[in-house]
Amino acid sequence: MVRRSCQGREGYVPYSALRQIERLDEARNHRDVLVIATGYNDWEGRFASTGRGSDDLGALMSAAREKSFKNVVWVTLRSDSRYRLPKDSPLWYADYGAMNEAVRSESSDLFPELTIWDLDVYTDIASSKEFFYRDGVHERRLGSWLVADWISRHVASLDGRPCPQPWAPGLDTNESCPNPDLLSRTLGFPDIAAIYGLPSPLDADLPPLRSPV
Amino acid sequence: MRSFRRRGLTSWVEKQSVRVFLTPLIVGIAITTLALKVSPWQEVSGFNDEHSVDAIDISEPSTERVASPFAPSNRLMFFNQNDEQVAGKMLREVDPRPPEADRKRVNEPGTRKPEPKFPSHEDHENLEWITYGERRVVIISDSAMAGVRWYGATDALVGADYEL
Repeated sequence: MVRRSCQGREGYVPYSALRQIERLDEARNHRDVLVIATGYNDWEGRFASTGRGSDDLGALMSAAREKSFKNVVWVTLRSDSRYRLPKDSPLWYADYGAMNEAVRSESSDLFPELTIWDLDVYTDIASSKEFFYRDGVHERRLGSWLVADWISRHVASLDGRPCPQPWAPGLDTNESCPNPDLLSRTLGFPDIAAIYGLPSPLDADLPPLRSPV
Repeated sequence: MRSFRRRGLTSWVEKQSVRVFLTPLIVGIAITTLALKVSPWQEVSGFNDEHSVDAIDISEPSTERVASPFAPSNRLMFFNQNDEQVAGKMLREVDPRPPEADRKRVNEPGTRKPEPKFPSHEDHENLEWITYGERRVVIISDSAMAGVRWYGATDALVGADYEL
């Protein structure tokens, strides 16, 4: 996030998140949203120090403030993962759950402009291989559409606009799109394959829609 | 006398030989020492050295980790060459993987079928803004979310009422 990244499988070493923020144009107005959805190659040791805001998390938030962002979104990391850290890391695996908790604990006090989009909770029943690869981090086709749809629902929710798609075919798009993280607790996932006309998964191990409570 | 002179000459020749031999050795050691002193600084400031900073951080005193909020303290990881394992956290020196023959590269999506393609993002260093009506969104992500691009799921980033 803050230090030089490892080489990605696309064959280049990407900028760190901090560098990317520094390269962005200034936010035009209070509506511009910066979404930070990275961190799987980092680990918990230097990520956040409660109440100080002086480490990696604090560095990113400071950079976002420098660019006048009034809306910063943090996408939680999937804690149910087996993703192995890059080879030169001191640990084999990071504790993404601890990193998520650190963001939650600091978001309200130190960084009021920080909102959490809880992908970890939203996809906690997405252990199915149809959504994520075995490392639990990289998205497969359905997972990619699930996440893109989820982002659009969140943005619509910010504006109080209708959802971009209904939760399932035949249902109405809500007049004011609810926060999908909250809705998923009662409804499970949207029917991504049906909504977007994707090929049905070959395996029938998709998590079923939960019954409304 | 002649014998003495010869011994003296031999001794002088031996000294010269030793000097010839030692001088490059000493110079070589000096250069090596200088290089070792300089290289960490170069690594820190190096732009393309992908993990050098992390590697140096590991060897630093772990004051930052002491101050970490992740209590209890057994969650902290102190790098120590002699430690094999710290409170359930595997260090790099301990390879938890099964024998080589059984290893699978679990982080590589390509090990699954069908194998996805990873087209390079031509302009990868410039982020794209996504426009939802009057709201602009920019997403900083890593390969975890790259499937959105790989699988064409960017279509789902376009809301029913919005245009990309």
